[in-house]
Amino acid sequence: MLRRYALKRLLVAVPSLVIASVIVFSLSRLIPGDVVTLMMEENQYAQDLEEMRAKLGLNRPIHVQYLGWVGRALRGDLGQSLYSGRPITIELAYRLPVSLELGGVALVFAVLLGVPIGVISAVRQDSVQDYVARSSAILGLSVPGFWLGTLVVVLPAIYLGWSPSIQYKPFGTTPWGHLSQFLLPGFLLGVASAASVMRLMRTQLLEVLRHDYVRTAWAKGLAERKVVLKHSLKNALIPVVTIIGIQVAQILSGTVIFESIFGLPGMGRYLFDSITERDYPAIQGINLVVVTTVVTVNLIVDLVYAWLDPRIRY
Amino acid sequence: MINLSFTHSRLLKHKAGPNVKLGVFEYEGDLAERWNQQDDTTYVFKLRPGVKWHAKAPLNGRELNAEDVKYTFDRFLTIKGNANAHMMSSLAKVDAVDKYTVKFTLSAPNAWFLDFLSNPMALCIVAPEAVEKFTDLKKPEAVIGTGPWILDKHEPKVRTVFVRNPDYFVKGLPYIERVEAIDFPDPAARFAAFITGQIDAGPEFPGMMLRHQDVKTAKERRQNLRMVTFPSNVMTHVGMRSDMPPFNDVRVRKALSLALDRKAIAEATVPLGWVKNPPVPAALAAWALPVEQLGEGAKYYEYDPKEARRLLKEAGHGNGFSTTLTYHNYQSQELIDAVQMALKFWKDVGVEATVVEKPYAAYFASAYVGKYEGMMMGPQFPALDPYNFIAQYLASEPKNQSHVNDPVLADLIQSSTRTLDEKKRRQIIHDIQRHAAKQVYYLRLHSGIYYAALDPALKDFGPNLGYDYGGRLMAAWWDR
Repeated sequence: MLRRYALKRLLVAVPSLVIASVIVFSLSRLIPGDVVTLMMEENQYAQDLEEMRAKLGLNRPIHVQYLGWVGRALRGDLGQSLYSGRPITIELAYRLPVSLELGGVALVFAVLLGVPIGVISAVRQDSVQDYVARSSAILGLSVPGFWLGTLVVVLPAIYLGWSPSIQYKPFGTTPWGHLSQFLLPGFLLGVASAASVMRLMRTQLLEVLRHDYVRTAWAKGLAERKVVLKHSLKNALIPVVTIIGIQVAQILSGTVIFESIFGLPGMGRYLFDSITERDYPAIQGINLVVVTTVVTVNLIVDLVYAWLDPRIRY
Repeated sequence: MINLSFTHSRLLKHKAGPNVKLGVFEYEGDLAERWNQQDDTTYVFKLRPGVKWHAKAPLNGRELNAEDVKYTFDRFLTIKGNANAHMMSSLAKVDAVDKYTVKFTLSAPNAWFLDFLSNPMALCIVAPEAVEKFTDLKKPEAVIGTGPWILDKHEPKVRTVFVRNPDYFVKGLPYIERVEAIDFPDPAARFAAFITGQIDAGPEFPGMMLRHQDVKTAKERRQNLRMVTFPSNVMTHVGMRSDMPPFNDVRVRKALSLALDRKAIAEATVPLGWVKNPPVPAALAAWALPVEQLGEGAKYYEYDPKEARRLLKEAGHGNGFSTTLTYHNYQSQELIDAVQMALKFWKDVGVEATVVEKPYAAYFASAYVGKYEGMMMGPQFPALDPYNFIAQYLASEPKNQSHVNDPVLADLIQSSTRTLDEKKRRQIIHDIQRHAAKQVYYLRLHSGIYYAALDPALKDFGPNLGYDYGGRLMAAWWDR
């Protein structure tokens, strides 16, 4: 049954990807005015307009352009960056792991902070701890990440004479230095997601704690730790898994800001730079990778959800 | 351009060092050992013997020769889409006379020719083999020059690393073994890195400057910081369609100038210091005429709304008029504030200007090259020679944003281009500025004061305007 469900979900993911690829492909062509003229005049990416159009493949019918682009993308060829002249796949191969690492660290912080605080908040409902946790969650959701990131970088520099290193350290040169450079931006990026996770965790656990089987567990005289962690948490966690999938998209979009503030050469910063440089093939390539990542993660989340809760398959 | 100043050489270069007067760009030989001017249109350069290209394939340390120089200039003149081609518009031909001698023949005398040759923004000498092999010289592997440093690593938008060229043609130079240029997009994080000592020289564009809001904290937090201040050559101005009503009436242009409180705008946007700009920016100290010496034109720099209203009434606009102001914000709060203040001052005298804000590329494709209605406003190209600024008054120039067509100015500018005697040329440039200020074709606004912030251990380094960071760092050394 799980295999059938997985197959169905996989089939749904395909049209999602096709629609997303059409949107990604069309967006740069919907920009008002002749974008080729603008790119030429601003950045001199080619010697004349005709060469520029040929470089972008705009001298062919639109459906041919789209099919050609998708066909090459399926073979791992996302075209060439107009700014650096390098294949976009090579640029992404260098930058995608940086963003995935940052996103991974952020996700770990989101779960490590959000789940325990949500549990405490639910178990100690309407206590001081609950109010503090809920207030903190609202703060975490409402404080803009770019502001928090800037403060965390600038204030220690002014008052403590310390700021995060501006030099990106590859894993091969210094493994610990490499990992440690993701901790601060990962924590900050994870804060907003942690707030969402915490709020959902609290709500779900409160609901589960009111179920009859939990009351039975209390009546049997089980310890609080056992009732909450063993009997309630697993069921309460199931919906939380779905929100973690949604958080992946949020975290990926957050990398644009945090990679810029912390000098990490990831995909978010590459997107930011490509937009600044009007490097449309790069923008298309990055967006396609982001969309594919999000669709894939959500597919995995759906499969995990089905595995955790067999009822979902029907 | 900045990267090439580390890796490439030019025939001539600007003098650099702590003793060079800021804003003055005297030239000296770079690849050229000596040169002479045979007549008004012929220059002969003798190249230094034994100059080697960087030891990278396909050059592999080959000796530079006159053919390389000829190739560079022929390519410069013929390559499509060269935005700097105008600099060599008077160059008729280049001949490689022998291995170390190059002759330049101009179609007409051009007094700025040697200034253009020494300009760090263009005209570095490239190798034919590199162009043939790589075609696109933007590729890191194609960066093969004869300059003081060799490109070691280039990670686009991350960092660029240069290492000392052991075969550089000036023996013993450069002293600094390695230069790392870090591309760090966030200004606050860049500043934090600077005050915590992670960056040796200032973090802001153009290269080594601090933003005004950061100067005080930088002085407090980074002990013994060496600060050098000098006016910027980035000048914001207002252009007007002087070929169309109502701006074809000089009284209207004068009124708009008198309506502006330039001092208030400057003090609000660049609080730590600014300079008034005549038609040639005050930063180009050797050529700019102080505003007070502009004659009649000087009074239009004053804030006099009463006189502005009188002039508008005299021009038939007693009830004011409506117009548009096209601009791009450059993500600069200072510029946005300046535009808002200008709108307010004009409104005070009855002129209602509606803002047309354009994206960067659209602005450059339109208003920056004179395609707009009414007025435009924005910073100008930070050139190091006065010609780029006076050319804005020539009908044939795309940079003529105000559509100036003034025979007096055209004659004066042509005369300045053909006057080789620098003293006499300076007088003509001053006359141009007086006439231009009197006709108020552009409303030149202030330039801010730059704060160059340097680690005190960096010796024999003198900051200056322009992109020649490699040239200025060449003789610098660390006292650590």
